Amino acid sequence: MALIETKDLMKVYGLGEVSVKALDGVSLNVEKGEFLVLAGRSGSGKTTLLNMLGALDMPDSGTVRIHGEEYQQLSKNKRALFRLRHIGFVFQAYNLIRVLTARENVAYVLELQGMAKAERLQRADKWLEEVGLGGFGKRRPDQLSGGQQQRVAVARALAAAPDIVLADEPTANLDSTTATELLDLLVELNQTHKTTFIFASHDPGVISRAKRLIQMQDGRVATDETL
Amino acid sequence: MSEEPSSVKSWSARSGGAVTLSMVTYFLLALRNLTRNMRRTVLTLIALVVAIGSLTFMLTLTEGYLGSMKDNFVLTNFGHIQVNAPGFQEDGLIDNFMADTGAVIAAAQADPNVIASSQRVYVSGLANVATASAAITVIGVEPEKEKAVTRMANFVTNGAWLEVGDNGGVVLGIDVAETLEAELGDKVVMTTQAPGGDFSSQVFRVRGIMESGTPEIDRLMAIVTLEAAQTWLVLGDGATTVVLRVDNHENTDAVYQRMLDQLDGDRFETQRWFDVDPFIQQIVESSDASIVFILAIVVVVVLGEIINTMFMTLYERTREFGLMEALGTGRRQLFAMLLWETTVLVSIGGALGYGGAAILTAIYGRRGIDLTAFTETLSSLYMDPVIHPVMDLKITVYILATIAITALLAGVLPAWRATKLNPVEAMRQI
Repeated sequence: MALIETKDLMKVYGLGEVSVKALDGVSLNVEKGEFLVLAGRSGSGKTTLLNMLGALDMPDSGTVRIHGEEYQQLSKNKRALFRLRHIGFVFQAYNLIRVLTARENVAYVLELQGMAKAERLQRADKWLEEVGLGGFGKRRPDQLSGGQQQRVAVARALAAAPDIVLADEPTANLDSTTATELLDLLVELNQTHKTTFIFASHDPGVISRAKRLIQMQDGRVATDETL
Repeated sequence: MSEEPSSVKSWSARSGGAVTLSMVTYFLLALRNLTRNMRRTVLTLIALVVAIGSLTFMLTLTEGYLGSMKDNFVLTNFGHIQVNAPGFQEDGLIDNFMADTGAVIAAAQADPNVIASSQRVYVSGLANVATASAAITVIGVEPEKEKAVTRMANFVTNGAWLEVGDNGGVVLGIDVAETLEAELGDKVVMTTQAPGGDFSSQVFRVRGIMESGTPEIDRLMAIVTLEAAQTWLVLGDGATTVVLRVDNHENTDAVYQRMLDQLDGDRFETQRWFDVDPFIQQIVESSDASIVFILAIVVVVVLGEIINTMFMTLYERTREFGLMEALGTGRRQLFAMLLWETTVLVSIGGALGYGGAAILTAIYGRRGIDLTAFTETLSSLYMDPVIHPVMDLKITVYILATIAITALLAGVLPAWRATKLNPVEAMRQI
């Protein structure tokens, strides 16, 4: 059984009197440990698909199964719990809770999972160390650079031991050097921990690291190639 | 995830699959979020401090003057409870005297909340000197016992209170003395009707002149010893009234009930101070109603201010709430987060307001607020010209309840709105 199975995903957004098909019958399987990039122009449906895979948005029709579980039937609260258990997120920007330190941001999700304080702080420190931010734990987001903030987000996503990490344009707000460093880190973490990474990006730097590349066009899978 | 999933999954299992955040985290988030926009928080706090502070001080002030009104009314003359022969309070006829007050005295002495009692004789009459006359109410009192029941002896401003056994002396209200142009040592002839209707006169010498500030006393009172009144009116050991002083106002009802239970209703009529003169009680009750009304106004005004602040907070942090929800924060946690924030804000404002008012109350409780310019008006209402605000448990409970209700009402709507956010749309918001 694949880690993720989607079947005939449809999503239509209404823009005034015009309706736009953001997803138009997307079916795909993702196996554990993949490093997959959803590429395509703006409006091609890659972010919408990523939101569906992350149980953030609901399809109008079709199904998403993660670990064999369909979240569409779940209540809003249970979908939050589902995300907490299975999915880590790295967004393009505004990734962190502003009033919490780097360490507290990482530990926040662990607390939601019910981990004891000493244990979660220790784990947060370990993951900050792993993403190269040892010693930065007490800094608040506004005391960190954009690249450092993204690394904290990566540490937060991975510390919770999710099945999948979803990253939406994670390098869009970073300079090329920082973006390369971040991607090197994500590739390494994918190799070391066998975590499944799915990106939505049109950044060539991200696309060049993909082991599987899905090109989206007009809400459909245009090409799907393993590299 | 391959390497560490089992341990993390077991933590989730330990939390029963439910999302959890500790009180410390809620508190920390609330406190730090409140400092995000310090100017707005400070402005909201100022509004809260002023509202809660002025409300608290107004309550302590009201408590102070209402307390003094009750004290003054009860201790000036009336006592907490009076026992008379049935009907006397209504008709005031001396024929309605109690020939034997032994049962009343015994019941009063046995009651744990009665701290003093004394017998009195009340009768209406006329006071004459060579050149003038005045309508009076003669009161026969037990001079020493009366000191423990009321403050009447303290009102003597010229001369002295009656001594035990001074059966030829009288203490006059100041207006009576002025009408009669009577001075200390002067003779006054007092005439009244004894039981049966016969007129009887007696000569007394003025031992003292009293000024209570209360018109009924100053304009009418002529106080003699109980013994003198009993002899003059041929009452034997009888009296018209037994006055009881209770250890505090709150026990008045309990003592009243016990007296009703113990005394023969055919022979004795027991009344509380506010049964006889409901005026003061009506003022107390109308003050309570005003307080509730003002409390409601303050709550509504403060509510508007805080709800506005919390909606601004929600609007500014919509993106962050979306992120939190995406990370797995449940609706209950989002709801609690905003409610905590409101509660912390209201609690800080409430505590500062209450604390400030408590300090003012402590200062003016000792010093008093001087309203001597209005002495005449205040005296007619049994109010002291200097008001001492009083903080008590009831006020603290009122304020705590106001703070709790305000926090709850102000927090619920924004918190509920936060739970309705869609994480994808929320994160798109700039």
